[in-house]
Amino acid sequence: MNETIVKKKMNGKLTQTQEKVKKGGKKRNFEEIVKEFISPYHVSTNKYELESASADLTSLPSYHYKFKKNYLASIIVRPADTESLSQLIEKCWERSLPITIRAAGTSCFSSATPSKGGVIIDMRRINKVEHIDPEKMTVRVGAGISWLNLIEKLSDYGLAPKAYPTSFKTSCVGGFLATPGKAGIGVLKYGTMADSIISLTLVLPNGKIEYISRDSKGEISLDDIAGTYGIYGAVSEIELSITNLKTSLEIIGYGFSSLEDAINYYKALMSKVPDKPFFLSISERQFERYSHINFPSQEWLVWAVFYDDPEVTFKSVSVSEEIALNSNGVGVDKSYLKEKWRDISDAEVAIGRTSRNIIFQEYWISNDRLLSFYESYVKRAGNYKFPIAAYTISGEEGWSRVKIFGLSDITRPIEFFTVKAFLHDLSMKAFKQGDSLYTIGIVNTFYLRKYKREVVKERKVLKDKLDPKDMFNSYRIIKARMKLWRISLLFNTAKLLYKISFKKK
Amino acid sequence: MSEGKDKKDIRDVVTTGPPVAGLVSPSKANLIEPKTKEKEEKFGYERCTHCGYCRHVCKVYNTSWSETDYAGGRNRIIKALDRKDIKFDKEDIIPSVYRCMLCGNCKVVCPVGINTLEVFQNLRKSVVKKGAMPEKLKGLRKSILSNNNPFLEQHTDRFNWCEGSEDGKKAYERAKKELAAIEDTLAVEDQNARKEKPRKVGYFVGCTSAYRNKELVNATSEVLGKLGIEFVVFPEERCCGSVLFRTGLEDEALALVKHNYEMIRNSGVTEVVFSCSGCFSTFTLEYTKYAGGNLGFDLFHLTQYALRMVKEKNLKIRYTKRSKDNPLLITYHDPCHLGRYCNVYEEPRELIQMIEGVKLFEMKHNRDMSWCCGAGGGVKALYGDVAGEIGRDRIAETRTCMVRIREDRLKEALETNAEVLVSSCVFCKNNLFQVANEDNSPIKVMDISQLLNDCEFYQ
Repeated sequence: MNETIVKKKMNGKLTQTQEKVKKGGKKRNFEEIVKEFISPYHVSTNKYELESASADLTSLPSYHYKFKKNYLASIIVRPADTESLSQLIEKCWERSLPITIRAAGTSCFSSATPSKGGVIIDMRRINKVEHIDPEKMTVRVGAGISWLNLIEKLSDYGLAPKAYPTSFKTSCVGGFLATPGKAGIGVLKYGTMADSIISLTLVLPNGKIEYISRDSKGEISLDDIAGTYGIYGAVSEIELSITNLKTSLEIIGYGFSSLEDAINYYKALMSKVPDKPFFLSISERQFERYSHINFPSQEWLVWAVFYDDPEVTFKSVSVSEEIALNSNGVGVDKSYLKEKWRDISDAEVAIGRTSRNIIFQEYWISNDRLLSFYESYVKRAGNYKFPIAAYTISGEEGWSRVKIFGLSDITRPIEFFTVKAFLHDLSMKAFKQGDSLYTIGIVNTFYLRKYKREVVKERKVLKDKLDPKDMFNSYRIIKARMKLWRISLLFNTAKLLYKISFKKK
Repeated sequence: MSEGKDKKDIRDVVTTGPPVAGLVSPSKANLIEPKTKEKEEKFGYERCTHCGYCRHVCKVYNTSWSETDYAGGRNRIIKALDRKDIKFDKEDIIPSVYRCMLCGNCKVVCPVGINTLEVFQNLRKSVVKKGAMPEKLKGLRKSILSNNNPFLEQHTDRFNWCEGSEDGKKAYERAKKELAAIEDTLAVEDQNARKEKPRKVGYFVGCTSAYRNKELVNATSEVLGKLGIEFVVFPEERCCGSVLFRTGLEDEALALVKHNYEMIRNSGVTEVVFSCSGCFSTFTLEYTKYAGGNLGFDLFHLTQYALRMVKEKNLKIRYTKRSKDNPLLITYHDPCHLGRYCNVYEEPRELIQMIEGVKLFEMKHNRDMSWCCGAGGGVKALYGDVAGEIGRDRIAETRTCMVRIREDRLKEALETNAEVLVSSCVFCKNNLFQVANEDNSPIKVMDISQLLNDCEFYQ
């Protein structure tokens, strides 16, 4: 039997389907086969659904997807449980159909979009809270559950997840583990998403269901799954360690005129305060300015949220205030603090108000090199006139996720690509100084192949073993569709054109 | 303050910030205006940042899980069509356009303030112009245009309900008499006399109440009677056009608007009372727009009018079937058309709380964060049986989108331990009543007019 992509005209329109062709010539459509075990309502080839599900929540223009070999899936399937997911993946495996696993699509780097067409498996229906154990402080959930739904459900029991992303209003539990769950709310205090995991259920590329715990000794471990963008299979269920809802939450904010003072204070809050901050961030004044009418006057701002029992929170706030006063910190106005309190999850969304096509890159920087990275950012930013802003959140011990935003519009293509070039230069800087990118999409895998060869090699060995045809979440981490020299050429040209056009003005 | 303190309000769920932080959009007071090019609200999709906040509150998306079914996903499609990134397909476009209850919850949480209702109604209008329309909608349109109601019922039967209500019958007879007088004489002195009359109250019944829910229209008539209001109905009343407006057939609704508007103006009525939230919101929004901002008569939902009368006349209300010590436990469901469309949240609550023998408990999702009952935007009419047809062999999948949505709402009502779920919209009442009935639910569903009709008003 052969698997082939058949193009045929139906109702006057050209459709493309994968079909299993029997020797006798009788065809059975993949869609029909899937509908035998997954509700037809959740198997779709609707043109508009395909277009939407083949994109993520980015505001980047559509070229961003369309450069890929085949950005558009042929079919979307939404299984409801691990068993039907396994059956579906097995059918794809038998037919060598490319698979893209997606849920909320909030990582915005095409991380959850097809690169070879094929099947999109939408995980959102695998979203049940299977079991809450308030005594053991654990919860078992479907990986497609949104963080907000989980937070709501747990709060009914006085419980809460330990670590979750700033995008928790929209993102899903499984996605945070894949992309890669090392920076966000609660991470500094409780550890990464991977640290919270007790066990998980993984469906391998051949459809086999694997139960993996911390002690598992199989070919694949929890460490292989965290931060690897689903290249080894689909996580369907996750058992998480949770905590109880705390009773006291305070936010502090201090402004600094010197970058060095701000970073020193940020680092001091990680180590010198009795209770580690629940959330810690640095923002540039510009970052506040691009989304707010009134904003603090200091150039660099450090924000910390303490969330625990009243006594612990009070102590932490007192110590933090003391350190700030000894570090030339100026307290931010209380009204702004109140707003910032709400802003934790909205900050990265609010900046999008000023731009039609917001562009950003997330860098994974060691705290030891944070200052030098920021200095490089400031120096390079001075060469351009377009709006740029930086925002950093603390990650796991010793690391930070620095997010640089460029506010542009594709209708100004030279500026648009120069913003991208600027972010690219900073990526090169990060890798050269031994750091990396936080989120690896489909495009920027070439950095890894150039600067993290050993890691890629190691990942590839396991990938070849589990998915020899590379059908599962292809082009993530181990393969690159784009060449570094081509990107460099494109961006250098953009920078040159920007300089010329700027001089003319 | 409502009772039921042990139950969490959705706004009190603690995430990382103060109450509200995680669940709805941030306060926009200190946020700059979004940078957009659009001049009109119907082009608001241009400002969508694809933050995805609307996904969490979209009950359709949380049932269908289709990327085209929530506001941001639909905005992406509109943008792609605008920029010709994707071709228009008459058939495939229909689900993403019509699988929306137009409940407006996405509008509440949108951090850039997109008027999603305006955007999506306009989208429906534009796809209809391009020849895309669900088959069932064609039938609805035909019925409204030929029978003045969407139920294929005879127009002449519209006031058959009067037989069941003494007050209704009187209102009808009064109206007929006055109508005849207007037609006969059109005498200037009579018109002047009408103008001088301090208050003349009309009751706009609406199609669903008139043809399908006579118990509700009878109850409303009786309540108005109990309040001592000598009201009239409109014997020439036609469908308000709500269905047509919501489904993209605005142009065809205009004749109905013109007829009903002129009918009320000519009747000399100065205050119009509605028991149907759909009719009320259509008059409040579309009719007012049609009249250039001033209708020339005031609009009241029954809950607003009854409250006003009770206050003006200094009345007290007592629920006759229970006592103060053994009150009826009630939870109130905010209809989208009364709440998010017209901002009427407090009057129904105030009225219920004035009733002796009744206690109000809030559901977790209330006021502007209330869940839709599942009947809005044509979803019930157009998609009521979709999943049922295609998934007969799977019990879990045979539930329609709308059924699941209304089940969720009923479940939340049950969590309040209330005995009765009260709404102030005939569609919500019917939809939630149906699921309560099918599930043998211990909770009873009723319209607020029925509750009030079981009350005594006294000084």
